[in-house]
Amino acid sequence: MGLMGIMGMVCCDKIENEERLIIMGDRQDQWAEGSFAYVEKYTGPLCSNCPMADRTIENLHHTYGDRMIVVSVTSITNSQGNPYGDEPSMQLEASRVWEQRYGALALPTAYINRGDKAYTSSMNDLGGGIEETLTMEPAVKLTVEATCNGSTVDINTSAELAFDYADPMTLTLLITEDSLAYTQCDGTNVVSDYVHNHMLRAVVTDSWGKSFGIGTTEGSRKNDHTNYDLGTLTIVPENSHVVALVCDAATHRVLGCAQCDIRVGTK
Amino acid sequence: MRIKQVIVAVAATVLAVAANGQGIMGGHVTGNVQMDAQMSRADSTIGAMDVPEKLLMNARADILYTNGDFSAGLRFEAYQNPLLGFDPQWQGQGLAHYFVGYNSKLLSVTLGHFYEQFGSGLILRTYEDRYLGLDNALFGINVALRPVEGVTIKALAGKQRYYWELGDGLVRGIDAEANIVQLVPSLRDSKLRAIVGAGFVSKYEDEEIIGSSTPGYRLKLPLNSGAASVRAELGWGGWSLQGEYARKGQDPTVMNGFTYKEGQVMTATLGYSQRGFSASLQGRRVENMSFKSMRTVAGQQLYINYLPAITRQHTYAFMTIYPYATNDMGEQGLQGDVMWKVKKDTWLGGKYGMDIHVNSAIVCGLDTTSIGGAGTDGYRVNGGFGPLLFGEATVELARKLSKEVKLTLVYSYQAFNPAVEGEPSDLFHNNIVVADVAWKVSKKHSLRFEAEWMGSDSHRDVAAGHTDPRLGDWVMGLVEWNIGSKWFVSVSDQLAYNDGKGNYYNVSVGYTSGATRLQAGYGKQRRGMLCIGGVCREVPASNGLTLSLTTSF
Repeated sequence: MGLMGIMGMVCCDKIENEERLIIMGDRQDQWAEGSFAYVEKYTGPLCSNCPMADRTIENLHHTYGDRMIVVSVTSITNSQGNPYGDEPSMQLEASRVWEQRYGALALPTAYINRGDKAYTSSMNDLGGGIEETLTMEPAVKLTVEATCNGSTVDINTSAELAFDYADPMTLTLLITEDSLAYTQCDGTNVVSDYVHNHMLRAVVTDSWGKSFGIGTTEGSRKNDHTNYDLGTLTIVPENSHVVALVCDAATHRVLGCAQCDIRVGTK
Repeated sequence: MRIKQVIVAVAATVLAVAANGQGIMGGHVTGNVQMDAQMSRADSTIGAMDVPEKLLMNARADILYTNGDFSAGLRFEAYQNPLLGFDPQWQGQGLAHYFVGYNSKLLSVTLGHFYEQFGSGLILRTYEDRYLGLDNALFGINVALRPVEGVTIKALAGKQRYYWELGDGLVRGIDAEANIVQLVPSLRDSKLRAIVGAGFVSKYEDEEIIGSSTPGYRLKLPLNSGAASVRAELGWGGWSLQGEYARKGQDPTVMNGFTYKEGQVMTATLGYSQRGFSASLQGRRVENMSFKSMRTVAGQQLYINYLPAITRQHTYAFMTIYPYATNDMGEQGLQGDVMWKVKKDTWLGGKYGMDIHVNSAIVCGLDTTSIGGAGTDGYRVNGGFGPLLFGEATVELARKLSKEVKLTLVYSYQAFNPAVEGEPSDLFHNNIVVADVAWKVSKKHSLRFEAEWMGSDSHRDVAAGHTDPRLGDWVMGLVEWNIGSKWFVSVSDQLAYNDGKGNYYNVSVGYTSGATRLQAGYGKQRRGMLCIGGVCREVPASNGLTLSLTTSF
């Protein structure tokens, strides 16, 4: 028994209360130029743990700013993605194929750059994944601009290969919206005016994007212009963004990512 | 890597030689094979999704060679692709488990993969359950020393299996157990039974970046986290008393929201048994006792410890529809169990006797006050009782009505808190009645009829977001026909009514020959939870064919 006690003292670390916090972002010197972390988070109005993950993501946004690009996808395969009552659904049919890639999804779950590791629950470990991702040079340097002209959105994308990359690529364009207030389960409470940010509102391209042949050698460039008809989709352009993803066509890993606000143009 | 290669080479060589001719080495080769296949198609009425592969399969083969004190084993597993409800990370095939071992009166040594348990598992239990898709075997070295009769000292070190890889965390443990009666010769003829033990387990993980609940800050993490336990088992005649207490140091993980509060669990069981009668009363209190070897992994993989269920393990369908799952973050519970074999030729027992089984359990959460998120102690315990998580009372009567007919009647009342599955709602109160009749029609034929009813105050309400397919009232019927000892056919249907929705029918045919069993089934599976011993996995809806083959040699 005594031996067990001694082992307990020797083999365990104890962190005092005042020593537990370290300033984040202290490894910025290790971040690669132009690196980014695309966080695809799956959520739902009936998911009681999702607001906890939202708070973690907002905290991380505070640290990583524009290098962290978040898209919040309302699950269509998990019933927790269903809306309350007759509230409008945020579920998009396009997300079904994304979710099927990951198998049965528990909510909340997030993936960085559409990698294999699933970040779940409170997602406090997401910061580690982002830090690691930011040390890697992206294959594609991407910029995107978007203008809303009434019922259409003009999207201009420019891409440049940062190093040789031989495999086929796709371009996926998404529209997200902040400050959407609708009912959300939060722990044991149901909050009727919960504010949702980064919500995926439309997939401009096909779910896995459209073919996007930049070339295969370092420095190759390609521009894309897309005009998207919003149709019946109602968004507040001032609160909305376009997210552009260049992915490996086979693995769907994100090779380049950029986000822009949607400017309001003239009709 | 070199160690892995050596173990596989030794195990494979021994097995190959042994399989070539058991007589050469004088040992025994035993094994078993299991294949489960599933085909499912989209069914919007139950929420079943299409399976792009059309056919899913989990398969495994265990081969064990033993020769005196020496043993070696291999397990091949294939998930091509995993059955619905199994994590896609299982996808793949290969040698998943291999070991060589030596076991004598004095010493046992295992190199490779092994399963081990200290006490009741509160600080360490590695095990596998193929139906839960769970395998937390340790890969490393496991030594057990028995210096004198009645004393066992165990020591181990290794990393846990994590799907097809090993987890990052390094697990080290030591445990000692003494059987006092065996140690003290003068006690050997007494009615006393006394076993005491203590164990310690530590895990090491590298530093990593974990965000705190304070914006802009990350956590300084304990790299070594440990848990220790003490236990005792006392018995006198028909009476027995078992108790174990375990305490865990700081262990911020995804399971506890990266909080630093220490954990503890205490369990005690008082039992009495005599011929035809047994009774037990069990109590347990758990506080922050999730202990895993990787701090960022949620779900059921990489658990170092195990908290056994404090409720009865049910087999009837509606009694498992809302199963109890151990809440290792915090709960306190009591369970009482009485089994009585009423003698035949008595007023109650009738001509053939009767079995009476009464069981009741109640599990509550802890009464806590939150004091912060990641980087804090998380919560303060107030000392009272938290919300009811699960409660049940079950009475089961089994009696032979004649030489050919046996009737089993069960009534169970269950209260279930949906918040344990992350869906806050009022408590569900369920009344369940089961009638099970087994009729031996002739020497070669037997029939079994099962009727179940569940009345529940849960109800489906799409507008309020309550769409769980288990909601509402249910009835079920099952007929099973056993033809000789080889064939069986069963037909069943579960139907929701009143406030529920769903019709789940199933047809099964099975054939058994010696140690080989082949079974095929067709029907619908309701989305729900499968729990074994308080450990659960989600089962998605499916509609289609299942095939199962098991054999052993």
